Amino acid sequence: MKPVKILFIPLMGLIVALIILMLSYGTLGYSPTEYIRGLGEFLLKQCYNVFEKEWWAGSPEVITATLWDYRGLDTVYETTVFYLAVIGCISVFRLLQPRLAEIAKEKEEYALTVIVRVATKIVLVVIILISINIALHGHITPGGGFQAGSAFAVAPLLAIAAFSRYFVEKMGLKMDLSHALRSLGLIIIALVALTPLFYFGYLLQNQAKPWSPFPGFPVEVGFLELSGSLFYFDIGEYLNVAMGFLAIFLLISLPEHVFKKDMEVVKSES
Amino acid sequence: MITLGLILLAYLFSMAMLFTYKAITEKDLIKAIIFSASQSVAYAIAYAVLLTPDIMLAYIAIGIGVYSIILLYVVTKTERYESEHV
Repeated sequence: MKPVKILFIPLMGLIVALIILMLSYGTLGYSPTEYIRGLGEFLLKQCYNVFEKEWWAGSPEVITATLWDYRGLDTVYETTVFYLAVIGCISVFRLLQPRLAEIAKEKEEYALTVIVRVATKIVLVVIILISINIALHGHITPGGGFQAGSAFAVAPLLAIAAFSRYFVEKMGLKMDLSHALRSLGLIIIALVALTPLFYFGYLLQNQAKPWSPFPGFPVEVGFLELSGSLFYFDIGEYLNVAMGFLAIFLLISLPEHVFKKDMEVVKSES
Repeated sequence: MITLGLILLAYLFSMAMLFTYKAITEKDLIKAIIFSASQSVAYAIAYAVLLTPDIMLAYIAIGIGVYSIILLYVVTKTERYESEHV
């Protein structure tokens, strides 16, 4: 056991140094090699081929373009599976009155120290802003809807841990909002996916193709770079994932006695 | 040919192995969660080395953020120290 412990301290120091090195290296413009590898060449040809626009997806971010343009149906199914998983979670906790949770206010004496609460308040704002940035910038820089949604998910969890479930609901992040925005995200994805069909294009079409009459979604609107349909898909996915996680966390943090009381009502009625 | 990236990857994955081993053998559950989060840090950097920053972003949010906080929340509902006789 001891040699492991002796090894551990310098290795821990090294990993902290590596994190700083990698982060500064990555943000200051890291380019791995001077030549383009085979996979990179293929992806660039399919996604950001300025010279031959029949392969063009309009986005310099290859992963988002691959997810929503080249393999669009996969991602739609993935989003649907996530939506259904959240629906399953909600139906396991089948609450008769979703507002019942508001009655169960936690007492103030259980709150954590001032240091934790102030730090959490600052961090919450930063997390939410960064997640919005990842979502709205997902078609230009690394990121996208799912990444942004999972980054957002840390915010309600932190608030529940540092303050209480009641605090999150007082911020306005309620179950009703979660249901509404989650469905709105799915509706956005469905509408954007179906739009090309009205122009006799194919499902989930992004840019104009020689074999399809659909003119394609606008790549640039003024100074904004939208990358066709990818921007709207990212917003829909962000709403779906972020609000799905929020619903799950609101449900699992429900005090047990509140949940059981609601279940008893179901039992006596049946 | 061994490049810098491969050496980095070898180091990061062996660190992740070490952290996983520590997380399993640790009796203090809070420390075990911290080791598990450190393993996620090593994996997140490994994803950056493998040039997949998209997955790195999701990994940081889920592996270090959501997963650790959920486990901390679970530990508050049980005991902090794992006992020998279960």
